[in-house]
Amino acid sequence: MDELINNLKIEIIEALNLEDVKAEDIDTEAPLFNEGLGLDSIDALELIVLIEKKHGIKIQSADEGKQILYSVKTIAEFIIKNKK
Amino acid sequence: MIKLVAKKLVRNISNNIISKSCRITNNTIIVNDKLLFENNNVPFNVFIKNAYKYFINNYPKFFKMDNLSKLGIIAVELLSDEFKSIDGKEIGVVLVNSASSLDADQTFQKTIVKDNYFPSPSVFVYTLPNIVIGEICIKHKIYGESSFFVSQNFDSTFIYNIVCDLFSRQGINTAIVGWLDFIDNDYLASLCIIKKISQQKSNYNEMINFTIENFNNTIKNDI
Amino acid sequence: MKLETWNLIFEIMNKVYFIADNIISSLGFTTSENIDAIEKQITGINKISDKTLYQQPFYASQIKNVFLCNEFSKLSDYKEYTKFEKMCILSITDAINKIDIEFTTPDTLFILSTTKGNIDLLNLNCCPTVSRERAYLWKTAEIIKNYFNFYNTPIVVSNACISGVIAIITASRLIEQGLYKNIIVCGADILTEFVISGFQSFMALSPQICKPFDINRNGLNLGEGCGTIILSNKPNKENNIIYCAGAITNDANHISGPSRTAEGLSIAINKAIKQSDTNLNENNCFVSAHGTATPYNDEMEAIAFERNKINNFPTVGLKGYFGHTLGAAGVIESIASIHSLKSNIIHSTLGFEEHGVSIPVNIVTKTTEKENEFCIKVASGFGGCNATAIFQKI
Repeated sequence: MDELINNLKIEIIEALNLEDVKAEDIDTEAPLFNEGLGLDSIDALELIVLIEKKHGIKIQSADEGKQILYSVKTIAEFIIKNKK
Repeated sequence: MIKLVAKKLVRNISNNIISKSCRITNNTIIVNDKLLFENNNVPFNVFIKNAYKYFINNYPKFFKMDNLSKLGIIAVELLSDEFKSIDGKEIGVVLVNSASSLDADQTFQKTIVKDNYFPSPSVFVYTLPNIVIGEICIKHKIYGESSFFVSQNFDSTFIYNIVCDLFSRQGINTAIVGWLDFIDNDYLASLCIIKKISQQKSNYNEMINFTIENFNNTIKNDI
Repeated sequence: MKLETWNLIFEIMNKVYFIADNIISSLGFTTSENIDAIEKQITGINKISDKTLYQQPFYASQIKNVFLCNEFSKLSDYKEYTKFEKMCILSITDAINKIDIEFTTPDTLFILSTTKGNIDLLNLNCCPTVSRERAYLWKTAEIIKNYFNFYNTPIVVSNACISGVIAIITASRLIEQGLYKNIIVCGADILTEFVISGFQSFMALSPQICKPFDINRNGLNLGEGCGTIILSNKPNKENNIIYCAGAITNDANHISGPSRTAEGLSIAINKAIKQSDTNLNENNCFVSAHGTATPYNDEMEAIAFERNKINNFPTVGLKGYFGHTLGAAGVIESIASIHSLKSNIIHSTLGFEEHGVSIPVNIVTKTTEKENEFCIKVASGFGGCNATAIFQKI
């Protein structure tokens, strides 16, 4: 889990072009959107692509995505739950 | 006869000036013919990032933008003191280029190849040339009229006519106008600010009248 | 300048007449075929299974290549031109043939409105014999210009989904200023893997036929199509519709999300109504909405309509017939509006069943006979752009 969380943070920084942000700067349980990193709707869509591309799990709708993408922790939990 | 007179009136009331210009190409940034920034022998992404750090440095959204938008955002930033006190509804933006959004288009095309098909929304959104206008409007709170045209060369007569109409009939008194092109690491931003003369407090040393000839000389898009 | 002088100038500005048009879509290759289908409430959107476009079946409005090549063979060698260019050339030919004017003179301009042009050429398997330079929008415009022998270098408007309305507004202003006598505006876009995958990545495509302004709307359908409209400083006898006003604005809010306050579109509608200097009301005017059927777009439009107190005007959305034809949409939907004004028939918003935006909007649900004098055409697009044009029957 810890390794997955750390990898996720690195992937997120790369996929969303978060300049000057390091993995340790991202709070695992803090909300990713609105506050914190200040991500927006396009970032959310890009994270959905990231989860499919790097972890092979497809998120079907934006509504489903909202809960999964709440924090790095919720994303990691979703990946572990759905990994075959 | 009366029609003819009126037409002349419409054309001549555009007694406007070119108040500032900015040109970015070949790793240099020139404002009003003065070299402001230079960063030789580095690729575009390094050059433009350094320019961002030097001139802006508090707008992290910049790093999410495509090349065309980054180029436009820096160029307009260096002209922004000319319109920061103007109501955003009265500012217009008219941009032209040759390659449209083909630079971003090519990047997006790479995300939809057969064995690695992961279309990227954050790339796709930039596959329209007018997105850079959106980015400029967001950064500077511009609500006025804007449009993006595509042509092989800068048609100064056509754009002159468009801008004159903005000033005379569309409630615009300041316009960000020019050429903004990026393709295969070749790039040129050549933008200027046009102002309605009545707005002027005539504190400009050299006033350049907004005529087709002066406009053409200012933009000079020999890429 | 004194107000009287301004009024004088407005008084004697050239009027701009819409003198001929054509629509090419999955519903037909002429304006009348398309308008007939709309009046009969027939959709051009179908379920498409084509793995070169998208892995799964999807709903879109597609022009059959066989029909297009057949039609085009009557004019020229179909192998010489891309699908995009064939559509434009066929559409312009049909519009030009309706009127007896010489279009190869310096007083005629050709404006092309498109978002992506020949974007399919980025895929190297597509049209291998065609030069890749034609992915440049000015190059494809030049190919079309050369086919018709037009005199002037064409203008290309590429401004997302409002391109078509901007092209019509720009053309009208150029004629008003007396710079051209005739302007041919052609708006077109094709269905490509590029655009489908992009909208899919935005989760913006509906898994069924789209439902503008409906409570269950869940996205748009893409469509390919082409519309040509010829604007002139002189009327011809069958045509009594003129350009009345137009405005373009930006939301300054987000590059893909519609503004929650509808700021940009509200300003655009307000400016255009003021410029029209007429008393528009629900009895003399209808609204042709953008109505993509995405949740946010339709909601944003409803707010803009309310802010301008036009939400009680009969409101029509045509995306249920053509899908979203991007750079063609503004032109095709304006042509439909103009024919609505001419024939006193308001079209219906196909796909709409139950009201689904937060503001009451007077959505037209079936083809209705009604005399109207004005139409407000609105459009909004990526990049936060908005446009409004007003057409008038004289």
